[in-house]
Amino acid sequence: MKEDRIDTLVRTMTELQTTPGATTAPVGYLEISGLQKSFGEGPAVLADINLTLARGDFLAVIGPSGCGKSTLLKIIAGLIKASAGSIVFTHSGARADTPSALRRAFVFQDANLLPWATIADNVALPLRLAGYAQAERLARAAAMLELVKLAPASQLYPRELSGGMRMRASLARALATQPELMLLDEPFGALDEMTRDELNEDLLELRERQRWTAVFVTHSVTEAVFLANKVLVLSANPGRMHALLDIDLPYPRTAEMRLMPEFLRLVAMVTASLHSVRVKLS
Amino acid sequence: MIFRMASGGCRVEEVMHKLKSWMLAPSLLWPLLLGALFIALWYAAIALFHLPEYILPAPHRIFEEGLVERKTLWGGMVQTTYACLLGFAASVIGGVVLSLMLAYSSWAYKGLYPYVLVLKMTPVIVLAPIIIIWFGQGINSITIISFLICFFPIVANTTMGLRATDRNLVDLFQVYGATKRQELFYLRIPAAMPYFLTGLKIAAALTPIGALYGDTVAGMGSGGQAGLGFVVVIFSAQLKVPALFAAAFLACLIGFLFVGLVNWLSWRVLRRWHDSYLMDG
Ligand SMILES: Nc1ncnc2c1ncn2[C@@H]1O[C@H](COP(=O)(O)OP(=O)(O)OP(=O)(O)O)[C@@H](O)[C@H]1O
Ligand SMILES: [Mg+2]
Repeated sequence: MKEDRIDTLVRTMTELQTTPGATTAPVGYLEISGLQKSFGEGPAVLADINLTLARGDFLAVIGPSGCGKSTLLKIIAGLIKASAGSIVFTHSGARADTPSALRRAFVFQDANLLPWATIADNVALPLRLAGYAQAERLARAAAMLELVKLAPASQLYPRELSGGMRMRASLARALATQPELMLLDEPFGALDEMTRDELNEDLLELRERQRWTAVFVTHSVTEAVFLANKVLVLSANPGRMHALLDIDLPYPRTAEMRLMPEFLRLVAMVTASLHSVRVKLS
Repeated sequence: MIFRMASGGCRVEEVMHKLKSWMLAPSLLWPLLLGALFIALWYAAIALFHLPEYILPAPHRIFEEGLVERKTLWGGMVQTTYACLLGFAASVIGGVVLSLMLAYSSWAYKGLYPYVLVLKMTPVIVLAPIIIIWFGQGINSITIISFLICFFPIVANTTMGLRATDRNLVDLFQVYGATKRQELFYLRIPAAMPYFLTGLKIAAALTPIGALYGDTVAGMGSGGQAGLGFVVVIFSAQLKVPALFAAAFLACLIGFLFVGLVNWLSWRVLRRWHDSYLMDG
C-alpha cells in the first residue's frame, strides 16, 4: 500500500524531471458532484456542491464565516468524509476516487509547523513520511527554501521566525511534494496587508514554476480576485454555491494590476455577490 | 596621557560594574548569603541555649564525625545512588510503556486507568510489608517501593501529552499519508516531550524519597551494604547524632544532584523550541 504510493510518486517525479519546461508538467483535475455534508445527526453544512476544475485552475472560495469553506477543503483533502456525492481526482491519466497522498498538498490557516524541528526538517517532513532518503529530502527542502527566500533560516526553529516567514516555510513544505493540487485554507489570514500582498505575488510566481491546480479559501475579496481565475461564493446554512464568477485577468499577474480599473471592477463584482448572500441571510 | 587615564577609568568602572552585577545576581548571591546567615544562627543557637550535641551538633562536628564514619557513609551513598537509579529507571520504563498503552487504546484507558489510580492512592506504607514478604529484604523490594512512589507523575503527564496532540498537526500527518508508526514517532512522542519531562522532574524529586524509605524498611539484607536510609536508622539507634546529620546531608545531596540532572536534561531537550525556555538573545 505504502510502497505503491512511493512508486507512483517516484514516477511522477521522473515525469516531472524528464518533461522539458515546467509548464507542460501534468496538473491535477478535480470534479465534485452532488457533494453534501452534515456532521452526525446535525443539519447540513454543505449541500449541492457541483464543481469542475480544469488543470491549472485557481479557484478562490469565499463566503460568510461558518458556511463550510474549511469543511469543503478538508473533504477534498480526504481528511473528512462527505455524506453524499463524489469527488473525482484525475492525475497523469489515471482516475482514482480519492486523492493519493502526495499529489495534493494542504496549507493550513496557521503555519502548523512542528515546533521541535528546524525549518529544513519541517519542509522535508512530507518527503520523510513518504520514505525518501535523508540526502534527497534535505536537498529538496533546501531547494524549496531557496524558492521561498528562506534559505538563511533553514536551521532555525519556528518560534525564531516572524509570522510571515513561518507561512513561507509552510508554503515550502507544501511545494516540496511537487503537488498537482494545492489546497489552502486562509493561509495569509493572520498576516498584515503588506506581507499578505507580497506573499500573494510570490504564490503566483511559484505557481508559474510548478503549475498546480489550487483551491484557496479566503475572507479577502481583493486576495481572491488577485489570485484566482474562478471565485466560488458560498451562502450559509447550509453552504450552497451562490455564484461561480470568472476572473478574466491574464497571468502572470503583477502588483500594479491591483490598481487597474478592470481589477477594481472585478472586486466590486465579487463584493456585490457576497453582499447579496448577506442580504439573503438576514 | 589624558586618553590613557580615561581608558583606565573605563576599565575600573567596567570591573566595578561586573562585580556589582555578579554580586547582585540573585541566583548566586542570595542563596550564599542566606546559607552563611543560617550557619551563623546555628552556632548562635547552640551557644545561646546551651544545646547539647545529641540535640543539635555544630556544623564542624558533623563534618568531623562524618569523616570518622566515612566508610559507612560512602557505602551508603553508593548503595542509595544505585537504588535511586534502579527505581528511577523502573519508573521511567514502566511509566512510559503504561502511558503508551493508555494513550493508544481507549479500552486500556477505561479499563486500566482506574486501577492505576487505586495503586497510586494506596499508601506505600501499607504495601511495603507485603512487598517485603513477596520479594524479601534487599534491592528488589527497594526498587519496587521506589517505583510505586515515583511512577505516577510520569504516567499521568506522559499520557496527557500523548493524548493532547494538536489536532491540526494530526491532520497534517494524515494529509501526507503518515502511518500510525510515523505519527507516533514523529508527532505524538515529540509533542509529549514537555509533559514527559515535567513528570520526570517530579519523579526525580520523589526517587530519593522512595529509595531512602525503601531502605529503612527493606534495607537490612542488601548484600551487607546498607543504603543511607538504613545508615540513618543505625546511627540514630546508636545515638551518633553528628554522623546522623552527616548522613541526612548526603541524602539531600543525592536528591539535589538527581533533580539537577533531570532539569539539565529537560533544558537540553527543550531549550531550542519550547516556550518554557525563552531565549535571551
Ligand atoms: N468536526 C465537526 N463537528 C461538528 N460540526 C462541525 C465540525 N467541523 C465544522 N463543523 C460545523 O460546520 C460548519 C462549517 O464549519 P467550517 O469550519 O467549515 O466553516 P468555515 O466556512 O471554514 O468558517 P470560517 O470562515 O470561520 O473558517 C460550522 O457550523 C461548524 O460548526
Ligand atoms: Mg475555516
